[in-house]
Amino acid sequence: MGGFLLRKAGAALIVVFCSSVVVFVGVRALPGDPAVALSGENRDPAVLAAVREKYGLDQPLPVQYVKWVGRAVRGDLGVDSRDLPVAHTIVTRIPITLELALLSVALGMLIGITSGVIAAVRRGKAEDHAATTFALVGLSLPHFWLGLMMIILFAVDLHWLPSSGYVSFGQHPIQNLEHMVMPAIVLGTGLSAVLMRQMRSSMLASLGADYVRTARAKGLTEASVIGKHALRNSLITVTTVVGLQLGALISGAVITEQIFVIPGFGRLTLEAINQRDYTLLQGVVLVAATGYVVVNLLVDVIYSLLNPRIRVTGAAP
Amino acid sequence: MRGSFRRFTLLALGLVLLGALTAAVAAARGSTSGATIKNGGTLTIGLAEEPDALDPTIARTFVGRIVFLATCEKLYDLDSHLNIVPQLAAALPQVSKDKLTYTIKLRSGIKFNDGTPFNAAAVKTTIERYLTFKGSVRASEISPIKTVDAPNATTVVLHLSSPYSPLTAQLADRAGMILSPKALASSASFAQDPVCVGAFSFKDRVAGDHITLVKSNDYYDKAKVHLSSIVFKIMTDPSSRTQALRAGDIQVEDRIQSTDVPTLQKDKSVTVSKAVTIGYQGLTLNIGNSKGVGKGFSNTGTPIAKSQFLRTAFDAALDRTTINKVVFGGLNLPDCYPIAPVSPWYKPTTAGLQCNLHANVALAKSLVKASGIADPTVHLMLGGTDPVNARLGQVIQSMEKAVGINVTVQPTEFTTSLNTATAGNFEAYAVGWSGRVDPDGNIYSQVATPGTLNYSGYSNAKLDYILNGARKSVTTKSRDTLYRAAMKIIHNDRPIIYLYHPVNYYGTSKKVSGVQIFGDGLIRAQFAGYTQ
Repeated sequence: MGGFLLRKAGAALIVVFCSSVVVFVGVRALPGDPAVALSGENRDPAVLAAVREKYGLDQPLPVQYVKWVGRAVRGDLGVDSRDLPVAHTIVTRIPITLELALLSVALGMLIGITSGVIAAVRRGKAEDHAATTFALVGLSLPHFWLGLMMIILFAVDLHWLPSSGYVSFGQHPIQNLEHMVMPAIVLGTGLSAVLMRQMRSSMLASLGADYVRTARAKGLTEASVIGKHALRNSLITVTTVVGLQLGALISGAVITEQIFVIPGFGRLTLEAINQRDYTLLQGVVLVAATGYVVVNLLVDVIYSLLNPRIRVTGAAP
Repeated sequence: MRGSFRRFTLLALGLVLLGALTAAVAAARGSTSGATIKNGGTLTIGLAEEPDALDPTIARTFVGRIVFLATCEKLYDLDSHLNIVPQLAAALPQVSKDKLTYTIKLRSGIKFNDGTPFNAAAVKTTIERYLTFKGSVRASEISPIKTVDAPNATTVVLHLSSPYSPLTAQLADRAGMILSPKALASSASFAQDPVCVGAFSFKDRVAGDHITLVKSNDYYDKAKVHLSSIVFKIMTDPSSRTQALRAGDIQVEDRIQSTDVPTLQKDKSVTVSKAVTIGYQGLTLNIGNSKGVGKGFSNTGTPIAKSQFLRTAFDAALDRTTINKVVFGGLNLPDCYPIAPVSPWYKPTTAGLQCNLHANVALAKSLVKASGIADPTVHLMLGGTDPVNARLGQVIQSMEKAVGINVTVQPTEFTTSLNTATAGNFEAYAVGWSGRVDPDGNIYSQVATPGTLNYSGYSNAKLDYILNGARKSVTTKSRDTLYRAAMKIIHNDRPIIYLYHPVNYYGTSKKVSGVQIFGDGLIRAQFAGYTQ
C-alpha cells in the first residue's frame, strides 16, 4: 500500500509541476503587455517600468518562474493588482463556489431523480411527456437567459428574493439561502435534465429486469418493488453521472456567478483574465489544477482501498 | 410520422413554457419619493468595474476615484461646473511671480479618520511619498515639484523645478489626496487599510465583491453626513446591475448600458441622470509613429500619413450625428474637440473654429482627388472586439466608401490594441480618453512631441511651443489664448479626429436623495441619504 501511495503521489507531483509550467507559459501567451493593462491610462515609461519591476515582469521568464514557484510552495501566491494577497482571496472564494455547486447538485438530484422515476413508472403517460419536455427545455435553456428571467420575475417584480450578491452561511443562514436559491436553480436545471433522462432510462431497464419481475411475483407492493429494488440499482449509474457532472457544474458556475454577482472562484477567474492580472490568474489556475490532481489522487486511493486488485495491477512488474 | 408529431408536440410545449416565463416578467412597479433626508441607512452603489489598490499613490482606475471621494478628501475639489474649489486647502494656491512657488493655506481643526490631526506635515509626508514611492503612479503627475516645505501647521509651500500651471488641477485629483502619516507608518500596505480625511472611513473589502465604508466620527463636517455606511458592490455585468437597481438591492447604478436606459427611464422607482463626460472618443491617425512612441518620429509613408488632404477628406466624410444615432442610439454628444462642452475651457478655446457634425461628401470627394492618391485605403484598428466597436467600424467604413476611401476594419482586443498603437503598427486607431479637468490633460500627452500617449507620432514644433507655454502660463486668459491656437493647429493637421464625448447614464432609486454626478463622471454620494 505504501509503495502504491508513493507512486501515485509522485505522479501527482509531476502533473502539478507540468501544470504550473503550462499555467505560467499560458498566461504569458495572452496577447497584450500586462504592464500596459495594469497601469491604466498612464503610459509614462517610469510608471510602466515600476509596474514591471513590482510584478517581476522585467526579469527573464525562467527567473520569474522559479521565483513564483518558490513562493507558491510556501503558500505565498503574491499580491494582485489591488495590492491584496492572492492566496487569501482564493481561499475565501473557493467555499462559495463549492456551496453553489453542492446546492445545485442537491437540487438537480432531487428534481432529476424524482421526475426520472415518475417518467419511467408512468411511461407513455402525461407525466412521462411532461418530464421529457422539462428535460428538453432544461437542457436547451442558456444559463444567462434563465438567470436574468428569474431575477426579473422573483427579484424585480415579485420582490421575493434578492437579485444578486452573497451573504455567508455563518453570517446569516436564511439570507445565505435566499441569495443562493436562484443561482442553484439556474445551475441545477441542466443537471436535473441530464439526471432525469439518465434516471428514466435506467429505471426502465431495471423495471424490465428479471429480479423486478421476481419481486413482483413474490407479492411485494409496487412501492417496495420500485423503491427497494429498481431505484437502488438505477442509482448506481446516476451517481456516476453526478460525479462526472460536478466538474461541468464548477465550470458553469463562472456564468452563474457573474449574473448573480456571487464572489466565487469562477468570477475570480474571469476578473483575473479581464484585468490581465497575471499574479491572480496564475494563482487561480494553479490552485484549480492542483485541486483536480488532489481529487484524482484521493479517488485513486479510495478505489485501491475498496478494491485491492487495483493496487496489484498498478504495481510495477 | 408518429415520432415527428411527438417531437413537434414536445417542441411546442417547450416554447409555451418559455413564453410563459417570459410573459410573467412584465409588471408595474411603485415608487416612493420624499423631500427631507433622514439619518441612517446603508447606500449600496453598483460599480461597473472593480477598483484597484485603495492607495492613491498607486491607484489607477476610474472607479477607484468614486470610492476615494467618500473616504479620501483632496486639497482641491471640483464644483458642479468643474471649477476647482478648495477642499482641505483654505484657498486656491498663491503662485509666486516666477511661477515656481505654490503656497497653499490649509484648513485647521481637521482630523484624519484615525483621529490624528491633518496638518502641513501630513501634506508634506504625502506629497513626498507620491514623488518617491517605488511604483508611484502620481509621481509623473506632479513631477515638477522639487521640494515641499511645511513652515507651520497650516501652510504648505511647493517648490517647482519649472512652471506647471496644471498643478492645481492635479491636486484636485488623486495627487491631492492626503494620507494619514500614522497609517502610513503603521500599516504594511496602506491599500489594505486606507486612512484619510473623509466623510466615511474604510471598514472592509472583500476582493471582487464589495468595499464597505462607515460614517466617520472624526469628519469635520459630519452633520452633513446622513448615511451610516456606503457599500460599493462590484457588479461588472451591466444587466445584473440594472436588475439589482430595479429590485432595490442597490440604490445607485454606475454607468447604465445604453440598451437598458429606455427600460430604466420607464421605471417609476428609478431616476436616470446623465453626465456628459470630460473625455472623448476619436480616431488617431498614424502620421509619424513608425518606430514606436518615444523613439523618434518620421512619416510612416502611408496615404493617410502623407496627405493632409486625405486626412481632411477622411474627417469630412464622417457624419458624427449619424454615427451617434446608429452606433449609440443618440446617447452620446458628437463633437470635434478634445475638450468637452461641460468644461469651462470649452467655449474660450474653441471660439472661431468650425465643427461639422454632418458629412460634406462633395468636399471630401474633391479633397481625395486633390490628394493625388488613387483609390486610397486606410486600415482602421478598433480598440475592442465588442459589438459597439464593430458597429462603429462598419459605419465609418460605409461613410468613407461613399467618398472613395476604402477602410478595412481590424477589431483588436483592447490591451493588444494599446501595444500595437504604442509600437506604431497601425494606420488609424479608434480609441478614447477618459478626460482631465485641465485642458493640458486632454491634449499634451496625446499630441505634443514628448507626449507618452502620442500614438499618432505627430510632431509640430510650433504646437509644442504653444503647449509648453500654456503649461507655464498662470492666468486663465493667456491659457485660453494659447489653447485656442493649439486647437487650430490640431484641427488643421488632424493627428486625431475627435468624434464625440461619451455621455454616462446613472440610475438612482427615488428613495435616495443627494447623489451628485458632475462632468468628471464620478458618483458623489457622501452627503446623500434616504428620504423621509
